Amino acid sequence: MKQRVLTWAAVAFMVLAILLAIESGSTVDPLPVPMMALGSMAFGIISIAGVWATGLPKAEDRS
Amino acid sequence: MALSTLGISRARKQKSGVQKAGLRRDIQGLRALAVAAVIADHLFHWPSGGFVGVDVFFVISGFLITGLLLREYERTGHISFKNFYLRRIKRILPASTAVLVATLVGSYFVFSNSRFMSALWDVVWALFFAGNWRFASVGTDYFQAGGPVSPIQHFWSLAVEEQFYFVWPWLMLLIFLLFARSARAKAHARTAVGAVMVLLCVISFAWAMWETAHMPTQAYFSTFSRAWELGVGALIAVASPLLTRLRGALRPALSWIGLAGIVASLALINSESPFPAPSAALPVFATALVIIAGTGGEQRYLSPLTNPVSQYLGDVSYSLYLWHFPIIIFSGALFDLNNPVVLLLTLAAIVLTSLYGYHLIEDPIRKSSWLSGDRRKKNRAPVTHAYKLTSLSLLAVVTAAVVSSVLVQPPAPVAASIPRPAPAATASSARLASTSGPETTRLQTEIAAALASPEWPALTPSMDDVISGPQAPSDIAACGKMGAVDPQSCTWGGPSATKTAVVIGDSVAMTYVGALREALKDRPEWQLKTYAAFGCTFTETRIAHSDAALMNACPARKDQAVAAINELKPDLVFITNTYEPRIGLDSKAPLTPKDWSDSTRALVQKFSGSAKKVVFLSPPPSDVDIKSCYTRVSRPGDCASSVTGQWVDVANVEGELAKSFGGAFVDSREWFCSGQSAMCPAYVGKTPTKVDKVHMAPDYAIKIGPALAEELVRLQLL
Repeated sequence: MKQRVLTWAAVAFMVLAILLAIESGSTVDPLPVPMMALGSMAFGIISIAGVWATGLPKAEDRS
Repeated sequence: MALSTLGISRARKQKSGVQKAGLRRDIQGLRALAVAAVIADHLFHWPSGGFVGVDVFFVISGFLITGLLLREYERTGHISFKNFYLRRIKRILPASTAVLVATLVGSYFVFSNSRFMSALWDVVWALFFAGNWRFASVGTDYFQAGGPVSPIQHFWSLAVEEQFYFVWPWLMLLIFLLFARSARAKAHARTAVGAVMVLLCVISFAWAMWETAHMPTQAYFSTFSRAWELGVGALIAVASPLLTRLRGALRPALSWIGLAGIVASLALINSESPFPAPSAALPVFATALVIIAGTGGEQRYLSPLTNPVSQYLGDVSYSLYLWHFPIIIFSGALFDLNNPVVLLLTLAAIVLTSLYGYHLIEDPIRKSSWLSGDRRKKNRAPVTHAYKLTSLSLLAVVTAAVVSSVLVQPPAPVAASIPRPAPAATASSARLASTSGPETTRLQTEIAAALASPEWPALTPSMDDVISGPQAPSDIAACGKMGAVDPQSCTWGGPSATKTAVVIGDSVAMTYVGALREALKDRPEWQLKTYAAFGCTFTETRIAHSDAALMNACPARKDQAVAAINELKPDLVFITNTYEPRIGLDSKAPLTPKDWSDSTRALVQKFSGSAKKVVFLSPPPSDVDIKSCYTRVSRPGDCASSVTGQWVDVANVEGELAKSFGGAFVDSREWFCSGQSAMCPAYVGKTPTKVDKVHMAPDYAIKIGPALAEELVRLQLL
């Protein structure tokens, strides 16, 4: 479940980053939009790492 | 950082106080306090000693790692290095690698090329757990010390811990082997480990005292100067069987004294304190008290550390520590961190990113069987998982390509890039025309145009080249190195020259040599000599400097310059030093304008009788470091600087000094700043003006040469 949510979060963040980057080309105030694009891409990268991490098999509880 | 040692949480219940639930609540609280202090210091510059949070982490780390190894040895009779290092990798690497990758990507999009390349090298050093030596080297390198802060500078503390992990377990194993010959000797192994650690702590602390006094920057980052902090934690682990005998009533008192000590160190220690030794002793021993109080017994009455909020912050402290610094640096590069709204948004970004990173990367990996050698569960991940990751990675590549193609713009073509003079330029020029010559007026026109420009033009050389380039051309720079000046190679002018000008001063004087050489190039009767030196302030007072070698060699250089002037009896002596605040080496206090005046006067008096005229040449005014402010998204207006009060105060002092010596004071403002608005652009015409905050760019030195000559003629010096 967590992995599925993360996968869609990664896709959403990446698509948002692309849209914001394209938008930044036409906006008057240039700073916030590219920064939001970068932030969105950063969260996308973390989400992808999260997809990998949550897909790892759990360690056995040896206690 | 110490957070790497959460592996202890999986240890079974021990008498030493590690609870079955996993984590010692007081230690988790200490982590929370430490990371909160570090973040507050970096973001709000409060409390002044917030950076001691790292020292708290060091003690925790030394305690946990040593305890882990001791327990393993006593339980199994050996230490599994493979498992130890795999646990460290699993705990430390995924989260730190994610931060390094994200920082590198951010640096590429935000910083200039030169700063990105610098960040890239920082990342390489950090990946090899040697970042602290890189930052020590950069911090003490004269030509890099004034540069912008690396977005991963905080990785230095991880490097110190990694290096400790590389050495300390092996040393412990060696001790265990020496004591493994008999059961009786084996019983003393723990004592031997403690004895060795006491010895190491004493040596390390003594070294830290010496290094802090003589090379403070090096000392701050050095593993040798920090080892005693980890060692104190290790000693607590060694002594933990004894500490279980502590009376219960004593424990709350010890922990509160320790907590008070940490809080006191946050308030009492500041960037001027001798650090790490002896100042770090306060937070280190205070942390030790808290850990001792909770070793072998339950911590009670310590709610500031054991409350649920502190526990959660302790859990995510590693992630918070990793993410906070690059986010602050990026935020500072793009926005005004003096704005409270920006500060709060930056804090929100830190928290959000850290929590996201913790729950999605750090925690799942820590709980997974990755690298744990659990073969039964290997390869159980479905094939679709691999496809999913591959598809997402491709999406990330496409996104990066689109974002970079849009955000990283190529330079504008030259023809379109040189803005026409704005109306303000004309007015400014008209006002200056009555007092300034044509060269200065031309500069003023270009300065006004640069200040009015909303976009960077295509600069020649590029800002990147200037920022990463030298402060002076190689032939001039060679004369500015410490050691005796070669009079032959540091003299310019024809053999028929009958008049001599000598330049003395610090690195700012070095940058003016190029301008003076240009100003005198069509005057064969003049020769120019330089005795200026990088990092050597030409005042009688010795000035503190991060580069000890430069600082120690400076007096001899000044003596050589004075002797040369008294022998040459030159027509002009140009003296230039930066107007940035200077710290006296002996007084350890900033020089006031009066100190500056007295100290400069004392030096000039040594040769004023030999020079026909002493000319005080003021440095370029600036309060903005182009290396920090120039990013891929900054605008020229973001990097325009103003004339500071400090600059004006010292200029007034030097003006008075010039009068008292019958010399001249040359005001540099007309070559760098608008006469009308007193703002100073980062470029003029197509030429960048500075290589950093204080030093003029070599090409700009050539550009102002004619205006400098014009001013010297006006002052009847040529």
